[in-house]
Amino acid sequence: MGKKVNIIITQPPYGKEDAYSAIPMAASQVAAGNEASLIFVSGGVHSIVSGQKTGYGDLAVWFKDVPTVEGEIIKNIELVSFFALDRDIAKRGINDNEIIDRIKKISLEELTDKILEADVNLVF
Amino acid sequence: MTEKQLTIVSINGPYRDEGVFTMIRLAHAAKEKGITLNFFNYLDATVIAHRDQAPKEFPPIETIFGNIVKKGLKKPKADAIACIKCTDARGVTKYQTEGVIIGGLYDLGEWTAESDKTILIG
Repeated sequence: MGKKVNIIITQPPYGKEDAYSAIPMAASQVAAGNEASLIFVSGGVHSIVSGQKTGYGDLAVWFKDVPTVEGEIIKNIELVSFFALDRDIAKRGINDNEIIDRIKKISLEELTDKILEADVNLVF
Repeated sequence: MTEKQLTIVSINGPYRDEGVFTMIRLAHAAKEKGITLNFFNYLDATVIAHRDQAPKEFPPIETIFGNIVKKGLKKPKADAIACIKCTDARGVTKYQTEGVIIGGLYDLGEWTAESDKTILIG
């Protein structure tokens, strides 16, 4: 039987692999018959800013660019429900018009209910 | 009554912090209680089961982890999967200890659906 799964990301993009790698984990949960929500909190909310660009330098040296977390979100936006904690977005000065389309803002109260309703909560 | 099943997702490598030791202590305690275990080693945790570890001053993680998996051939069962994208990235795909299967995130999705509880230890 499918489970309700929340994957909560507390870590910012790029400094650690966590945010990038949590997204395919959520998508695979859906592929296996579960219902997955991915929620960005704390420094994790930096992942929801649109217009991300990566690149360490000359591709002749680096072979390939680090993929963007934004690209991974957009790739999976049909499969996974994406949320971000409103107070953590505000704290970091991220405006509504900077947020990737279809990522919903969620209050702490709503997040608490969501955690209680879920079968599984995984925190990165 | 069917046996209880616990899936443990690990994301950290051994030694730098205590997380993996905590995970193994927890797994051992669960096994003693007769709980079926599924280990999903993701990201740096794919180094947990890397062969030939020989730390001078710490318990050998691979041996302890491998023993839990090997003893899980009987009830309670203990299975272990290492994520292939992560093992390939770290060059450890061919060096996993006996009993660890190379798999993917879809396997974790199936384990999550089947298990009574799924936890992530970071």
